[in-house]
Amino acid sequence: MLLPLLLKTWRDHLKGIIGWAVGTATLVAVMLWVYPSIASSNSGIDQISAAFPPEFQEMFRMNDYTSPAGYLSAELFSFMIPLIFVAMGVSWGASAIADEEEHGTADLLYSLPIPRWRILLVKWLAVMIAVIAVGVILWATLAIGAPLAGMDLGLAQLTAASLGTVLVGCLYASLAFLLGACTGRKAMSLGLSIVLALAGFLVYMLAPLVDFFARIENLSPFQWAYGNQPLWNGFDAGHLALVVAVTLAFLTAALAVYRRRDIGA
Amino acid sequence: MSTIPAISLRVLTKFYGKQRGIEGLTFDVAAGEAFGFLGPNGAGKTTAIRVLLGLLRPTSGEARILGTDCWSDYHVRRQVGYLPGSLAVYTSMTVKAYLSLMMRMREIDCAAYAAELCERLTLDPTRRIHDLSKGNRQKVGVVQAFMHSPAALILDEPTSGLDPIVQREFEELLREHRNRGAAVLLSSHVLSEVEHLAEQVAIIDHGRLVVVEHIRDLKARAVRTLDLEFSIPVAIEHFAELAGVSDVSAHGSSVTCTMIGSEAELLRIALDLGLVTVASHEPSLEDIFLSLIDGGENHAAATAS
Repeated sequence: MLLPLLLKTWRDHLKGIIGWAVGTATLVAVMLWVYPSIASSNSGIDQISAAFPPEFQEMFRMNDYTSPAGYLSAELFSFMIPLIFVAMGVSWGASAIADEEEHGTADLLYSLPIPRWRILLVKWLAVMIAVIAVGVILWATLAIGAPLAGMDLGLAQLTAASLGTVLVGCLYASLAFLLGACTGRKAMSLGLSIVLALAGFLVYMLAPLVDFFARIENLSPFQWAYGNQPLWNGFDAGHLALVVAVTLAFLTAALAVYRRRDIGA
Repeated sequence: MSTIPAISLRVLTKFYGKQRGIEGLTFDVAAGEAFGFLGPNGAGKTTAIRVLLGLLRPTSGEARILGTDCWSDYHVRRQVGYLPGSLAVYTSMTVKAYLSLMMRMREIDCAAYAAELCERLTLDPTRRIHDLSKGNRQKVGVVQAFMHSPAALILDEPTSGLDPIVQREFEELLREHRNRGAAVLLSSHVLSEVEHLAEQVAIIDHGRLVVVEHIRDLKARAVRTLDLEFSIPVAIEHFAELAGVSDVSAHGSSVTCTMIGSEAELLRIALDLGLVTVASHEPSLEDIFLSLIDGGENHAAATAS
């Protein structure tokens, strides 16, 4: 009774999943494609990036820009890629529960002989697997493209950066899912999750510049995922586990709230 | 087992939002009984039904199906067919795909009967639900409620949007399921809609029960108008003193009166006086309905002041 619902949820999101996957792969491929020309003119570009204020360099993780890790970090993992995964995850997470309540289809769904928690678990899994699927595309594009672009980067580093990205996406997707479970309203869940994600992102991004942010940067999930610079240093299992734990905590809270809530009221 | 009512509400109360909700609803629906659940729009019918299904948590009291509380035990929903008042289904699917999804989620296969239902209701299962008219979408709701032949059918304004021909087929379908032993709870804001289907009705207004009664009793105690036509003018005194008769008036050879209860005595006297024709204006159930609700309102106003 669960597989049909899982398949149905994916079918609803199929266009979105394909869109995000193609977008992500294209972005990564283009960035990898232009890398050789940037690497070959290394001294010039390095001078340009060195000309940026040091704060700016730190913000966008521009240290050592022409190196493979430096380039991927600045161009992809400091901004665009996390943004894509958080936006994607949040939009799916916010719709998962709230859409059906707003459209009224929840009435028939939750009057089926299936306990609510199981329906929620399936909806959550559908979102997680969709985010992970786009993550696999990201990882595969990097793993195939980086050697082709002449990047001397370990697979462990690429995998660690991809995994961190996927997990951050899952964390914010689960936050939006939880807010959807609490409110049953999509716009509110989406908006609030985006605000919270931006807050987390700003703390992480501006931590090198602002003392206060530096002190609280350990509260930011982006810091957990990217703080140890996975493109250089590979896996940081402890912090990734923390991201997973918080994600599961959001899920647990969503199940607990929804067990007792009135549907669509 | 047979002593347990198929559907049972006990002092069911649900408050939510600002003052909306239901208060102290109590009634039973037996297996094999069709039960009308009536009240004006916004009276709380849908709220009561959604509590019954476990979509809303009761503030107090009990709502049980086959003796089981839907809120705490989801298993009993296997035995329930539900047609929501504001029906919403997955419009991106075809009728057939949607019904098959519902079957798979219920872990049953009743495709043959579902196909038969579609045919009887003249619903094309290959159409995408998105492209269907409101009436045809309502048919999808009817099919998914009936297809697994549940022990309890809970139908919230089921005939809304159905054309008269389909409505007749729906009534026939409902009788079949009632006759095989299903309990049917049928909500409506129009009494005439449930008149031919239900034996008993509960009428609610502003979230409270106004009356639970058999339709025939409701009718019997209702005032109806009689028009008597005689061959010659007659005196009204012959009728004025009869039990249950009031408002007698005569115009030439015709007499008009209103009455409650049996007409036998009045007709016997009228025949002796040379009765030619008699027309009985059946009690408009709508009027009964409205008078009960107005009465409730006046009562509420009286107690409030």
